[in-house]
Amino acid sequence: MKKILSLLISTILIAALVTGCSSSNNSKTSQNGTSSGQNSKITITVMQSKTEIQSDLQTIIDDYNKSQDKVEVKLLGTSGDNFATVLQSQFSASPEKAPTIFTIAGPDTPKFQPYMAEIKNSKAAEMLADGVKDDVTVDGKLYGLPSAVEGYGLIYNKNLFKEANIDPASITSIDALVNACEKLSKLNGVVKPIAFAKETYFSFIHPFNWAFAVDPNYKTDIEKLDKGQITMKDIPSVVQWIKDMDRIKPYTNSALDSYDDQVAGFASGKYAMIHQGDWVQSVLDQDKPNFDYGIIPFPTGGNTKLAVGTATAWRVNKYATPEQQKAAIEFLDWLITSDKGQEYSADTLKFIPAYKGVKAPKAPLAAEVAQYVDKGQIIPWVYNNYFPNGIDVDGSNVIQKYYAGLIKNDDQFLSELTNVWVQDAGK
Amino acid sequence: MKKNSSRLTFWLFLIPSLFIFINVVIIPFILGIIYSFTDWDGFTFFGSKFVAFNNYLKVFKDQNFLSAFLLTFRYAIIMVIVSNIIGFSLALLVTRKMRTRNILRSIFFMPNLIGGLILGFIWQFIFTKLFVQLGTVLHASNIFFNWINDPNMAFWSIVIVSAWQMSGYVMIIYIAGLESINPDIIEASLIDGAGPVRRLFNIILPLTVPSFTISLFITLSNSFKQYDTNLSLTNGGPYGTTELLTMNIVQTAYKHNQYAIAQSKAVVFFVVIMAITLVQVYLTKKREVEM
Repeated sequence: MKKILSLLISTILIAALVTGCSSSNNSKTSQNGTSSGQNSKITITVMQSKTEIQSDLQTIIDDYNKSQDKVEVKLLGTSGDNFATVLQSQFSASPEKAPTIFTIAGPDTPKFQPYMAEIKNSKAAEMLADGVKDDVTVDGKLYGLPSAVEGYGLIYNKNLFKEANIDPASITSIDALVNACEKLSKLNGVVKPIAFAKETYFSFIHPFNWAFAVDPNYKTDIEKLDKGQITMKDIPSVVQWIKDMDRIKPYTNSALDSYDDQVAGFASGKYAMIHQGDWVQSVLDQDKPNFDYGIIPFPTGGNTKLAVGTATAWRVNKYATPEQQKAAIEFLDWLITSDKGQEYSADTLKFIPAYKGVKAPKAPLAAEVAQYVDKGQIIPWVYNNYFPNGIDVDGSNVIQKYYAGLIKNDDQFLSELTNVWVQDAGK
Repeated sequence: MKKNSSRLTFWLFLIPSLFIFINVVIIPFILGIIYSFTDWDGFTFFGSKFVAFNNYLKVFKDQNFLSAFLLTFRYAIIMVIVSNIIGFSLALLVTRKMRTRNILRSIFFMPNLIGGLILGFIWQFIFTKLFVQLGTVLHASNIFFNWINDPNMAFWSIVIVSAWQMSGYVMIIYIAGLESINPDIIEASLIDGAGPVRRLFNIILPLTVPSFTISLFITLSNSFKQYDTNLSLTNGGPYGTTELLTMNIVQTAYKHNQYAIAQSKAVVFFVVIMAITLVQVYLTKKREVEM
């Protein structure tokens, strides 16, 4: 009896397994079948790295799906921090099934270069602003449509600045910044005048970018640095940056807060300034701080320009079917150039346009960044294309040591930075 | 006839799990060993070159890898001792005749049901927020401060969280061992006048050695493979001081894009764990008493 029962159960299990596999096979073939059929929809998938816009993007995609009946756009889940890893595992498993549209920019881009289709016949591409074109062009061919530009610097609390009687426009040198910090730290409720977040990009990559961005010869300097021909000590702007960090270090939170805590601390008035970019807007909108805020550049070596770059760009999967690729570009064109898409991009997603003649968002930070872009008061995100892989982890370890007081002097700081840089570049 | 049908049942039961086992363990394992001898870049394997033992040479020159190895050894030894002592004590406690013993068993086992990743996030809150608050309220900020930001205490915070999680699991194994002891032997020892300490060391411990074999094996191999709590609780920080071996391997692959080298590290890691656990099982097996 028992044997018969177990036999029965095992046959059922096997049957379930087999039918399970075969049914998924069926659905796969039917999906392929429909994409080649006449009156059925093409399905394209989108995967993007910004967790904060995920739900808004879903609403926009729902609207797009309703507005036409040829293409069904599906938004895949996102993972934020480990985005490139997740994306890579999908491409190494099978490029055909990887997302049709994906976002990537920065140091990880070259890895995905073989999987990007050239963008042709796109309305949006013709409107692309000159300054950002370089970010998505390889060998003269366009491989992506920037979703937006973003800028970062010191986001400051206007009310606290007024209370301390500081003119934000006067902060054009580290001396002025230190003076402001001195005044701000005396205000009621202010724990630290400046806060950095502890994530690798926020504690190291973004702050350290200033050191190279203000250097007019950063390309050749980094090239020499990679080869070990020079050290950090030989780059004046890096030496200056470290001196400036020494000055403001006592006024910072030592980069001990997580991103969420840092922005929440700013919203509650605990921190008068945070080193962040316009992407904090959506978090601030939720926190609803009861003060006005703006953004100023980090004045290392008298710098007065904001660091602005292509945060991320839409890419089309080269291994998707030609129909899917075409549908993907159509969708992106709709999102970037159509009236409705522009409205969504500016008002809902708060994208600062990388395109000429496209609506800009009204949000305070975005508007200020857009002004800097307008005036040409911008310096690049050098790390996007020139920092070695892995420097975010290794560099943030160095800077955490620095904040913890384990680095005795500037020379040690410089040599440790050189070490990790050369090590990561040489690998 | 009868024999045939039982053989059929055997295979019907075996095939599904064998299929999964081959696909997710055996094949990736063999591929991994092959990758470790090439300059594979993490995407397609075609076009990679054979580099013999170059990757392994680089692995042994990697300072971060060696320090992560030492830290993992330290972590594993501490974890084996702490979680087995706690687990065995809990098992002794809940095999007594108490009214609350069933509730206590489930409570002690509960942490094991929550994933290590979630546990890490929960405890991160405790270590970073609650501890700071406690420090200010109790005026004891030299004990209660943000443990995650201190290299030494961050290590201990991983030990505390993992021990809390593991002890419940080994407790169950020890309970099974303790309950399988023949009550006659205990009674005989009582009649012979053995006190509780003597009974523990001369009767109970020798008879539960089989449970120790399993528990030590599980805690040892799990501590070496620790990743999830490490990731969610400290993420290797502050400044890379709590980076355990598995995290070092993941960082090598995904942050530095050196897939083949990471794979070589994983092979080295596998050989070491295998050697250690085999020695441990051999040694404890020898001490097992057959009744």
